[in-house]
Amino acid sequence: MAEQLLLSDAYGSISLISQSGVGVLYGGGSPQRAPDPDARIIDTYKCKIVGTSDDNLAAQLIALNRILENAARYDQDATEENECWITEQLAAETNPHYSLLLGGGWQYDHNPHSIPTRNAHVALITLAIKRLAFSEAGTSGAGPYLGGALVSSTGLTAFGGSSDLTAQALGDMPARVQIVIKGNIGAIDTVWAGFHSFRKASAYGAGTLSDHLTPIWESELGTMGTNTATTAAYDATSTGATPKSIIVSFADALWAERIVLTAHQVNAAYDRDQVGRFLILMRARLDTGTDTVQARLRSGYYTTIITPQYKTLDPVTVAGTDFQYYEMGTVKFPPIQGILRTPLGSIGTYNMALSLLAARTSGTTSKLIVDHFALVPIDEGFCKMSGLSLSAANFGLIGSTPKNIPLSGFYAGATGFSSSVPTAQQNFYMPFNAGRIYYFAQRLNLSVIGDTLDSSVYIWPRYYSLRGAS
Amino acid sequence: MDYNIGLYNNLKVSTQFIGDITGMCPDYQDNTRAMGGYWTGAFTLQGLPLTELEEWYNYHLGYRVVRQVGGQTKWEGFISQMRLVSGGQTYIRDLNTMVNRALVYYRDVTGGVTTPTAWNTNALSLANYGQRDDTYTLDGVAAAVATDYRDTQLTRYGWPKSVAAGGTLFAGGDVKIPPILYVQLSGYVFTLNWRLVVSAIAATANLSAFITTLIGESEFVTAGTITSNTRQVPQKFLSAMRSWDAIEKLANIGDSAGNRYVVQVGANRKMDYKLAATAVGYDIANGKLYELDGSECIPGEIVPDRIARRRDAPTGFWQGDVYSNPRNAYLSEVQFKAPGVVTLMPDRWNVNEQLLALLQYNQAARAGEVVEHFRGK
Repeated sequence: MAEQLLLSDAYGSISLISQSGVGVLYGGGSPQRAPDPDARIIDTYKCKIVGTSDDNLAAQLIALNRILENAARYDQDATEENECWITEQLAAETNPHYSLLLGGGWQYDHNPHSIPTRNAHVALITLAIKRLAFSEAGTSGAGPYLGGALVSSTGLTAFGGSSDLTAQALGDMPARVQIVIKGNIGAIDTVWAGFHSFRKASAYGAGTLSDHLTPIWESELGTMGTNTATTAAYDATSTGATPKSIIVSFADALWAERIVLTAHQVNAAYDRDQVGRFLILMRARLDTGTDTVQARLRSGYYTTIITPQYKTLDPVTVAGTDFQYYEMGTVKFPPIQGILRTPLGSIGTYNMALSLLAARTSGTTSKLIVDHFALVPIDEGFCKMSGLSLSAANFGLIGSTPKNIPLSGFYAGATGFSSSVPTAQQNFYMPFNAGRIYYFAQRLNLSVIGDTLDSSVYIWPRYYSLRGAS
Repeated sequence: MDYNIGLYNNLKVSTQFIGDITGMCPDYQDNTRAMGGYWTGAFTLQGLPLTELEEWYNYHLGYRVVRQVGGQTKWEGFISQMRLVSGGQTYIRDLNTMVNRALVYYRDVTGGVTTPTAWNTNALSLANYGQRDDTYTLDGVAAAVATDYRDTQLTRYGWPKSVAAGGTLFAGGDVKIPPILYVQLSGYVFTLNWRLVVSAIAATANLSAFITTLIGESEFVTAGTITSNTRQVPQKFLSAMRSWDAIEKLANIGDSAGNRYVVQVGANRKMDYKLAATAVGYDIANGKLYELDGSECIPGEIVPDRIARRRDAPTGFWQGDVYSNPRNAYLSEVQFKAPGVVTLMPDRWNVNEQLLALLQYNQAARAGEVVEHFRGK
C-alpha cells in the first residue's frame, strides 16, 4: 500500500506528501503522543506547497483552510455530522489509521510577496493541526466510520450469554465499540452488558487468554440461612444444571440472613476468576400473595469464625409472582485490593461471598423465591438499555462516536428509529487486549427461561502510537 | 467515567430519554442529604455554540436529570433554574419564583374577618411545569380587588419566563465573552414545597400515616418505604405549611423511644421514612473511605445517613450514644463532584461534630486522600 498522509473532509482530501501539491518538508513534522486518550494534541508540519500558478497556489491554500474550518466546526457545532480525518499509513502497513481532526491553522514561513516564492508559485508554511490523541484502524479505505471489525453472535442466553472478543483485540488502548442487539426469543425490554477482560483471569498469568467467570451464581449452591430451603424438585422456571431455586418461608419477622453464597461454592476450580466490580441482579419472585417483601444484599468475606464484615446495599422490594431481575447494587471481588498478591494468594478469593438479607415487612403469607444472582461486570465497560422491544427486526444500538460521544437508540424495523429509550453507559470501550462481553436481559418486568438475543459488536481498534499491526 | 448522566424530558410532558450528557458537563455536581434525599445539583455548559445553549435555555427548564452508577440511579432531579450569559448580559429562567396557583386573603374596608378568595391558576404553566402555590394578603379591599390582585400575580409570575438580570453591556475594548449556561438542579423533594398542606383533619393518627398522607398530596413524589411510627399527631397544622416543611418537622419529632428518623426522596421520586442509621456503614483508614467489606468506595455511590468510622481516631474517654463516639461521624450530606470527588459533611446537630472535619475523598486522582478541613461552624 502506498504511503499516505492525508487531511480529509467529506468533500475531498489533501495529501501532505504530494510532490506537486502540499509537501511536508523533510524533518519538518513533529507528530505528538498524548499522555492520555482524552487529550487533544497538536501536530505541526513544515510544508512546501507548490502550485502551477498563483491562483492554483491560492486554491490549494483555500482547500486546506476548508478542511481545517470544517474540522473546527465539527468539533464545536452539534449540528455538524461529517467528520474530518488525518489519515496516516506507512508504505509497509496493511491498513491506514485515522485520527479525528478537530481544527488547525497555518502561517507563512516566508513573505509570500518575496520574489523567489512568488516566481515559483511556492508557499512555505507551518501547519498546525489539532486532533484526538489516538488513531482508529479501519478496514475500509473509505474511512473508519465504514470500517470496524464485527463479531456476531446469535442465540445468546439472556442469563449471562457471552461473546469472546479475542481476535479483534488489536490496538494499544481500549477500542471504540458500537453494539447492535436484536431479539431472538422473547420481546426483550431491558439489556445489561459488560466487558470482562481476560487479564483479570487466573490464566492470564500463564500467558493464556481465557476466562472462567461464572456470571450466574445459582442460589441453590449456597449455604441456606434462616427459614430457607431449596426447592425440592426440578424447577422449570429456574436456571441451572439441575434447575432449582431457594425459598424463604419467613417464619420470622426479622431482617435475617437467608442465604450466603461463596465464589468457591459457585466455581470451585476457578474461584480466582470471579473478580472485578459487578452490578448484582437478583432473579426472584414471590410464591403468592401481595405482601411486602424486601431483600438487601451484602458482600464481603464469609466466615463463621468471627463476625463477617459486609458491605450492605440498600433494600429492594420484590413484588409479583413472576421471576424478574432486581438490581441489588454493586460489589467488588475480592473486596481487599492486593490480596491476591500476598503470600496466601488465591485464598483471598475462596470465600468471597454474597449474603442475602430478607424480611417480609408486611403481610403473613408471601414467600420469597430466589433463582440466582447475575454478575454484570461494570468496571471495564458497561451499558444498560431499557424500554426496548427487541425482535429479529427491532434492535437496539449503543456505543460511541469517534469523538467519544455516547450514542444509543432503538430501531423498530428499517424506518422506525427512536432515541427515546433510556440508556446508560460507563467506560463503554472494549478493554485493551482481549476479553468477553456478557449479556443479561429480560422482558418488561418478566424474566423467562429460554429467552435469547443476538448481538453484533463493531470494534474500532485504537492506537496511541502512529503505527499498528492491523 | 464511572458514572453517567442522562437527560430526560420534563415529567409533565413525558418520561422520554433525551440523551447522555455525561461528556457535556465535566463540572457536574450534586448533593444528597440524610434529611431530604436528593437535594441540589449544578453544571455548566460552555464551549458550545450560542444556538445550542439557547435551545437548552428555551426548552429544557424542568427537564429531568439522572446520575447513575452501574445503571442504578444515584441522583435524580430537575432543571430548576438556568442562567444564560450571552452578549454581556445575564438572562434567568427560574422555576423557584414561578407561581401558577394563587389566592388572596383579604379583609374589606369594614375590617371584618379575613376571607380567602377562590384559587385561580395559570393553566398553561400548570400543565407544563406542575403546580406551584402561593398566597397573598391584602387589607382594606373589596373582594373584586383581591381577585384582581390575585390574577395580576398569576400573570406576572405564572410562567417562568426569561428575565434579563444585569451584566456588562459595554465591556472594555472588543472583548468577546463566550456564551455560558449555568444550570441549577433541584431534587424532587423541592416540589413538595410547591404545594401547601391540604390535610385539615383534627383527629390524630400515626405520625407515619400522616407523612404518607402528605406525600400523597405531592404531584411528583410518591411514598416508598414508610416505617411505622405510632406516635399520635393531629393531621393538620395550625398555620399554613408547605409540604416538605411539614414532613421534615414531623420526621424531626422522632418517636417515643427517642429514635432519630430521616425522610429521603430517592430514585424514581420515591420518598422513604425510616430510622436514621445507628450502625457503622463506612470506614475511614489510611486516608481512604472503605466499605465495611474492605473494598474502596466508588465515589458516585457514597451516600449520607451512614456512620463513617475513623479507625485511627484518638478517642480518650467519652460517653453518649453512637453519634457521640469520637470515632464516628454521622454523614448528614454528601456532595459528588465529577469526575469523582466526594465531600462528606458530618452531622450538624451534634456539638462535637461541629468541630469535625469535612472529608474530601478524591477518587479521581487515585490518591484517595482524605483531607480534613475544620468546619468552623
